[in-house]
Amino acid sequence: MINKIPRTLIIGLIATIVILLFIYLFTGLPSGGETPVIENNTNKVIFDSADKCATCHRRVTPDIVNQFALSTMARAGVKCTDCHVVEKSNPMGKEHEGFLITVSPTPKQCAKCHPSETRQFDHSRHGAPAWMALSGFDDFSPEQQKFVNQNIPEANRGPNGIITATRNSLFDIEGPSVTPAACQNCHSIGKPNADGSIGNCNKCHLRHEFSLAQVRKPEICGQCHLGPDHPQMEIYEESAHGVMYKTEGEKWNWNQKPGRLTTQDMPAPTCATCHMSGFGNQGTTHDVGQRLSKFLFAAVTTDRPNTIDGREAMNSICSNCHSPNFVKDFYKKADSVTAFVNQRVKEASDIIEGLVKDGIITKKPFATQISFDAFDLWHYYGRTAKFGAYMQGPDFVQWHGIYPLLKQLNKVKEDARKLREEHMSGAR
Amino acid sequence: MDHAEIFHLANVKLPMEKNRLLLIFVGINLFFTGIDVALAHSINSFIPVYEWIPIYFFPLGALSCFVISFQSNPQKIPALIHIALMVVGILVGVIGMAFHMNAVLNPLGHLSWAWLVFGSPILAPLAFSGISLLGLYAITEEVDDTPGVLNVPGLGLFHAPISRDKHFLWLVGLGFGASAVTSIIDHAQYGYNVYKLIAIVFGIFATSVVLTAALSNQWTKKDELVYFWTMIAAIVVGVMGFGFHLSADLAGTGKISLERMLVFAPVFAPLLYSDLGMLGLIVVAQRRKNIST
Repeated sequence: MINKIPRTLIIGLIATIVILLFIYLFTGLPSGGETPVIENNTNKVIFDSADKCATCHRRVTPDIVNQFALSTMARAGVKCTDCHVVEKSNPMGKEHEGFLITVSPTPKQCAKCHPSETRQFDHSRHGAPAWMALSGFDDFSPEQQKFVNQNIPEANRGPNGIITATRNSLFDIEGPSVTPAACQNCHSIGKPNADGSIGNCNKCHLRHEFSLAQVRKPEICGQCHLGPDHPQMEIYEESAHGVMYKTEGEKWNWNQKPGRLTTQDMPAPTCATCHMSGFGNQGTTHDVGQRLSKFLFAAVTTDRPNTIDGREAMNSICSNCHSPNFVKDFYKKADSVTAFVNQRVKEASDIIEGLVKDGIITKKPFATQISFDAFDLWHYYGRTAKFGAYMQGPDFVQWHGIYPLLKQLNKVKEDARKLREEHMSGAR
Repeated sequence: MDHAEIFHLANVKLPMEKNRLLLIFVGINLFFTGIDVALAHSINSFIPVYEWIPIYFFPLGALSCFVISFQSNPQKIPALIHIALMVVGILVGVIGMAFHMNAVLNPLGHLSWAWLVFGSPILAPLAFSGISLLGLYAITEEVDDTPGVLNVPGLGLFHAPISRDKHFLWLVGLGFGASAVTSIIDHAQYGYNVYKLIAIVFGIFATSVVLTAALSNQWTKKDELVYFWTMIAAIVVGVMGFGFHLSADLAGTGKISLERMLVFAPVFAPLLYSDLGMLGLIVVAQRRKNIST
């Protein structure tokens, strides 16, 4: 019987079984590898090298050298000089031990190796629009202004497409004695640089380890996206996603390679997962607005230029875990909250405009108590309610959002009535 | 038209002489492997700089194959250039494997399963070596059908320990072997399931069948049958794998993301089985001398 079976088949089958058994016995056919993590001090590529920078800096700034030695960039052979040394024409360059260096490398340096990432960043609201929210166009060179005009559809534009961003009144009122330690800290993520580039990658990719795991965690975004005017961090902590992160996050596969993340690595998302990571059918993006559909930060929310694509992109991220009906219903509820807030903000805005028009208050912003109150109405409560609605934070929609918004609207109405009465009695 | 038969199982009409067909096969393989490597290396912007080496090589290697395939009897200079390029291709593959190995070993100083699975694919660069070796053999002729005595255009006679056909079989067998090992390593990233085991089990089986055939001096008709259907199955398994990988990359949304195609489930990788299946059939196709051409 056995003679009738061809030798090739017998050997083939026996070899297959033996090899599979061998693999199983000796490797256990490991199920689902975990991405490798570099343990502390296992990599001393830079630290122990004869690299000229490392030789000095391991004595002067040992922690920086150690951090960088642990980074994936060091393992890829990137040296200090690759990022810090600039060309002669770079106005940010300064002489240092025979090198022309910049202390703070800009996206121009990062773009040498990460061109798509910096391009995506440049086109986002994390780029120029972040700084324009403070200074308008004042601090941008003509070339940078031209770039913004041509490349950033999300930059504040009027109906005719012309950029309308103006210098922020509060920024001017507070002035240079306050703003460098306050709003500039976060908004400098899009500050124009002297070398022509815009922004600062280090805002999120903290020096010098540039850890992938770190930048995927919500605390990175929470450096700026917190507080009463944009409490995304607090809302995330209230959401089921945030609770999953807090209670289970330590087990997640934070070092999975970019573009390979799945729900197996992260059973719940962080900020980066939904807004930036290559996840499901979405490729990685550094354009943080790419998956967004509405300008929630604005007093009166309008659609973003990419509203349909943006919502479709976010839908496909959600659909990794949620059913289409769940997502549709979720957006329906959030859009409804936005419409409610829009209506109240317009109401308050009409009241203020009426007072200005009738000469009861000055047009100058933040000159009267009622203009502060009207600002708080949308800037604190309106935004909070909207962010809460789109990020699963019901308490922020209700008690930190809509309730104080209604109370504030009532106050604005009452104060407007009193101002009108005072104005009338004054006139009499 | 060159009439050929694969054992006594299938009569095929080769569109040209077998060697010229092999050269075109090698050229196409070099071209697509090069594109694949270019896309893979582009993910980290070709850093370190030696990631450019295969990118510079593949257009030259592919071009040489296509040029030589136009000639029935390759002329001395083009043949020598082709041989030189194929030798470079072999070195590119070996050096590439050393670089990949270094990248996998460097971070911890020793080999770990995690880095083997998630680091640079250590066997992948050998594709260049295998294809180039095939390109090298493809311009040789066995003198008077004497096994192992090869006429290398421009260089004269070369005495190999085994016949030209056996060389091809070893290449096909080792190709299946490398694909099977890669399949074991790559599929470990997300754990194994039945679909993934198809590639692993079949890869090991095909390797065993082809290498057994390469080691045998006499094939029975049943052995030929097993070999033939194994190659046909390889073509089918490759196409099935393409479907599975595409489905994984589309993630149920019907939208294509280049990033996922490259780094999640590399969409064209399973077609390597189809490629080897076709090569396995071409190398055993014998010219039918009783049919006028």
